[in-house]
Amino acid sequence: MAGESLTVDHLSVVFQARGGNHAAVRDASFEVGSRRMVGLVGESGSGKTATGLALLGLHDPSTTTIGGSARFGETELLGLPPQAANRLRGSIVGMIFQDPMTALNPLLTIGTQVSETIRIHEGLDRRNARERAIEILARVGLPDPAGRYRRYPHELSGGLRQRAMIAAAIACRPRLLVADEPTTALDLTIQAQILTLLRTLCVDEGMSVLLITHDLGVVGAVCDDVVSMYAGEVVEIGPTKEVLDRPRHPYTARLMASRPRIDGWDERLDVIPGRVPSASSSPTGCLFRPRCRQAREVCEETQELVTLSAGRRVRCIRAVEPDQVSFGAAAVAP
Amino acid sequence: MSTATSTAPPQARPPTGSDDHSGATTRRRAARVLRTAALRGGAFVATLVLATFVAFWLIQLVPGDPATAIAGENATPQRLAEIRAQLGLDEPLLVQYGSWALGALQGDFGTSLYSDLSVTSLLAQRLPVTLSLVACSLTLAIVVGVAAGVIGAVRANRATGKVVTGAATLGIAIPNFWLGLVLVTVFALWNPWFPATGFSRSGDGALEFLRFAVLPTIALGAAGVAEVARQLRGALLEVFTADYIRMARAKGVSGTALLVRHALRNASVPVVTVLGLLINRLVGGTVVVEVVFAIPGMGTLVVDAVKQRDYPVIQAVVLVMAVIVLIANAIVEILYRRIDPRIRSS
Ligand SMILES: Nc1ncnc2c1ncn2[C@@H]1O[C@H](COP(=O)(O)OP(=O)(O)OP(=O)(O)O)[C@@H](O)[C@H]1O
Ligand SMILES: [Mg+2]
Repeated sequence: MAGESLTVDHLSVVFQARGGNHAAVRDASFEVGSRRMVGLVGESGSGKTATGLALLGLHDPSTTTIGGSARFGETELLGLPPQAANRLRGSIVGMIFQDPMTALNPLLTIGTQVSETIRIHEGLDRRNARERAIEILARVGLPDPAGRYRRYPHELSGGLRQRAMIAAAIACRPRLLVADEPTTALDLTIQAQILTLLRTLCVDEGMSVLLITHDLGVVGAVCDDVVSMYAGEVVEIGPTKEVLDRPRHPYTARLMASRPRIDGWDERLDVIPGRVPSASSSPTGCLFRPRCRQAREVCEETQELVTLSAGRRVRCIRAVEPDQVSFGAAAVAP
Repeated sequence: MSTATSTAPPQARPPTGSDDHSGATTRRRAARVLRTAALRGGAFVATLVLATFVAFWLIQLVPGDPATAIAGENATPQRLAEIRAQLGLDEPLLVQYGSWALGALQGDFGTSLYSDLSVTSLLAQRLPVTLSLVACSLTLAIVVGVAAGVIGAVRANRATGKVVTGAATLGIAIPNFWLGLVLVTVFALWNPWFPATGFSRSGDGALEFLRFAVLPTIALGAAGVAEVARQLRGALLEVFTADYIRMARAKGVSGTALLVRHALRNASVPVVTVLGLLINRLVGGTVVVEVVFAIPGMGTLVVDAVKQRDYPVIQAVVLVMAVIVLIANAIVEILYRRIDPRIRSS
């Protein structure tokens, strides 16, 4: 049963807009190993959500073109016919979202929204689904699950709503969970609780988790591996400890240096000078070059994602040069 | 209360649930419900008093004199004075209103100045006709309007959706009397499928009722169909982009369940507002439509009464229509609460 891993290969997500096409994800390849928790990090607009939505087939097909492949175990997730995709969503692949207030239906009770998943996929009747849902609510650490079952989202605090949403997403024990910034809307204490919960689900239930976040602190706390994304491209992959200790791509290093501090919580990562290049242009060379302090002439050539060692890949010329330097915190200090 | 936390910024939320309801809260809630009910009841009565009093006052402003209308142009001044005294028209306005209101409270609306029938018996004849016409039009507006709104939203980018939306935009602009005349001309005069005028009597059977009701129902309800369709389409298009729809899809919800349980329910909140306004408009519009189709309902009753200064009848009709509108609005309020738990708990 366990053992499936997610393999994303040359994934591209292109939005068709009136002003031209908009490549939100370009040729992204990465893995989420079985029972592993992988952090997908990047600045705002780097294509993290677009990647997550693509895995569940939640993009609007009339305005979005998806390319490449994403296999989970034996199953190809991309380009599934609608019926097959509906069967898969919620049962094999689940997703949770950033804001637990807007992602829960305000007119339905917590119980309805959790048992709905169970009734769809397991065809249980109302009573049995209710029992299962209350179990799940208890599992995610919701106090008084039977009482909360009858409550509406607005009657719960943010942290409890987030737990309820997680319960709805994992009610049928999906093997892969995409968590899109699940703690951004929460305060620090609750954030830690939710992350611990996700970690527990990963370890105890054998769920593979793709944790989307812009916060490397979160990644350091719970993730096994990191995928760093810039302007729709994967620029660095590796085990969390290695990447955080010794980032090999200047962008990842800068992400770390501009980590939000405890006191200035909602500070986003726009402290890296310069802006993400417009996704509609198709530039050549390293996309980070205009903002990179180590940029050189050679960076104008297109960079490949190069494997340094098993599970360690970087898209930067400096990482493969013999006289490579580390882009540790010292290197990025002004 | 728990609602306070939902509006507070995320950082300000307490770390644990603030959603416990103690006995004290329950008692306080009961007291609040009682107070609300008392306020509502007071507002209800006040509205009725105001509406009928304004009607009373307006009748006085209209040129012409019921006494002259009754006795004829050639009546002697004494005769006119006699009639006025008999009707109480020589009393001050407030006294007149007071005695009318006292009677109305006991179910006595007086006697029509012309037909010598009691106003109550006139209402008993006319009210069912108008009520059935309004009910049919409302049903039409809801059933067809909801269907059209859903099609307009679900197929927003396709031809069917655009046609439906265009028709709805047009439908709002068409006046009901004009539509009524067109319908009569086409479906009663050119093609004698439906009767041009009149209404079925009770006991005529459902088919006969429908034969008479179809054209006036369409004339009265068409604008409502368009309004409901337009509002619902707009609300649905907005709801479709909501996070909870994406979340529901991520759980595997699709098709009818997604549309009805998640999208339509949320989109129906603004539509209920429209329904409240629509009922008010239908009650007003029935006057015009009844005249066009010569239907013996409250509308034609009040038009004749105004022509003849038959003020007991006018007063009673105003009262009844105000009651209908108030009841309709109360029902809308209840609907709101049923649909949206956030309104229930605030
Ligand atoms: N439906 C859409 N149509 C057009 N462009 C879109 C759409 N959704 C996202 N984009 C664009 O695609 C790019 C990537 O967006 P995405 O939401 O994946 O970023 P993200 O990494 O999740 O950022 P954030 O941290 O702000 O959530 C952005 O430039 C965004 O403006
Ligand atoms: Mg995002």
